[in-house]
Amino acid sequence: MGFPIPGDAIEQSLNLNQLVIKNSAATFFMRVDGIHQTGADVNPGDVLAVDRSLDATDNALVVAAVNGELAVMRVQQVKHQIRPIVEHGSTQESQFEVWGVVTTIIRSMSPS
Amino acid sequence: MFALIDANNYFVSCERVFRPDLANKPVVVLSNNDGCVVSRSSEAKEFIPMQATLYSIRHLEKQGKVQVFSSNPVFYKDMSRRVIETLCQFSPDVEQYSIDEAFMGLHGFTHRDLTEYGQEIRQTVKKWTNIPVSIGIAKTKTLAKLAAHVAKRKPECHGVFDWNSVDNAEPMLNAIDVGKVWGVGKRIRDRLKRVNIHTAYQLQNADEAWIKKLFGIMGLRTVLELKGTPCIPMEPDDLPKTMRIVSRSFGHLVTELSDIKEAVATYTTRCAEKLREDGLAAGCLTVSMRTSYYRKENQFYAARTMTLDSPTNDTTRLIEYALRLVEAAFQQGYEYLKAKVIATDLVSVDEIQGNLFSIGDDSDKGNRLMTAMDMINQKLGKDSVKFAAVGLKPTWTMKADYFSYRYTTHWSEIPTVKGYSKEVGQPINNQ
Repeated sequence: MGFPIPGDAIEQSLNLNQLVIKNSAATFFMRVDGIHQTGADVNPGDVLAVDRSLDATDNALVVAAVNGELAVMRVQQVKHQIRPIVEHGSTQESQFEVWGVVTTIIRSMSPS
Repeated sequence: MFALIDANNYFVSCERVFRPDLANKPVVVLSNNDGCVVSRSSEAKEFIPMQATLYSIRHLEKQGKVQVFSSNPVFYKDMSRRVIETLCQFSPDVEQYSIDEAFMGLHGFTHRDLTEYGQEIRQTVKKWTNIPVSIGIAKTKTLAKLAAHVAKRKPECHGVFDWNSVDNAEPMLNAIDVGKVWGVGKRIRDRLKRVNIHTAYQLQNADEAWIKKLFGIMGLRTVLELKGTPCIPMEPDDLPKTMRIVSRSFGHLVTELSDIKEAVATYTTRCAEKLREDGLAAGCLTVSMRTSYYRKENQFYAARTMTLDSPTNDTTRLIEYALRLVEAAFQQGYEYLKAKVIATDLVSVDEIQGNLFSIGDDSDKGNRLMTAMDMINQKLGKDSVKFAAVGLKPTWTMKADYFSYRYTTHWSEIPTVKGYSKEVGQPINNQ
């Protein structure tokens, strides 16, 4: 007694956490900083769900530590190595380590 | 078989989670109120003693020789929750011992190479949570703790040490001060030294009857554990965390919605107080109402449940939800005898994860209001301040000059990342 009867309960609302968080131990939210850039994957103000338990694959969007700073970027697989996608000349090797893989981008369409 | 998983310099490691720039740099974390140093990175250990006062290291901080942080308990607890969740992937038997330590039962895992398994656990915790841990494995909890002590100090262990992997443990146990043994506090350590027991090895091989006479059953237990006889089992998780119920019969039979609403609001207030007393928040709320069982006719029972956007123990929010549930459940034409408010999906308030829907939610303010109300009601008697009173604000604040962010529990404080352009992999310039 005292418990809801199945079918009698009002519909539960959808929980966005269920959709976005597959691994709650390893998922972190981060906000993108910077200025608008056409053609970029992410915009300033976007909130990223970042899952550290996943391995970065070719062309994945990741958060990486570059020279001690966290940044979001696309990566490519070169042989067995994950590297940032870099074109024109900028081959200079910097300290680079994948921090986590971006699984979801949350973008508010109204100015905050 | 037991494992002890112990986070390395835990508070400092937390502060480094989102700060790759702090890797390999001297970092310390202060106690509450910026009292003294309670956690040091290995780099800081070289020149800053434990419990150094902020005053004594302020000049180093000013010169940029050490990064100082105030304590950030909300963040540390959430990271701890993440570490424990990760550990639960590896054994059904995980017991959190403190904010930075957990025991794991490894019964039934003995066919595996446990050092290897320990490495897998350690690497997974680091990958998932970015927290480095050391792991000690042994036949008893006391030995597992000592094994973790060894794992931390011997670089060749790579963070994992299993007592069963050495044939002769004597030299290692002899190198460990008896004060490092679990259960040996400062006073017992001093007493042991007076009877010439200085090392873990000497305690392990002390005469059992003599130890029992001197230090009682607890002392004997420690010696037996050191010898490899398990005396301290895994503790079950805190049990009473499942639900809080407030239910009462009405003074007389009630037929009107407005009366039931008043009653349910009162029960919900009580329920929220219970939750706050226990440091819990409800993720799910149920309201039920029924007519008398002793009536032959016109019996009615209804219950409605809702999952909350984010767990709460705020009376305002809970009443609002409870009244919506009453409206959904109520049917005209019955004589009601009893109503019930049930809070389930309980979580510790410190573990509440940010929720996508609670952006801009002013929950902090709500918390302070609730704390103030509870304090007044405790002092002046129940319901001295009732729920229409708003705007109470405590005037005290904690001293915390080097506060980092509550990165994982408050939307306004989540870490930021730099955006990169797609084409060239170059940073978007910050203006």
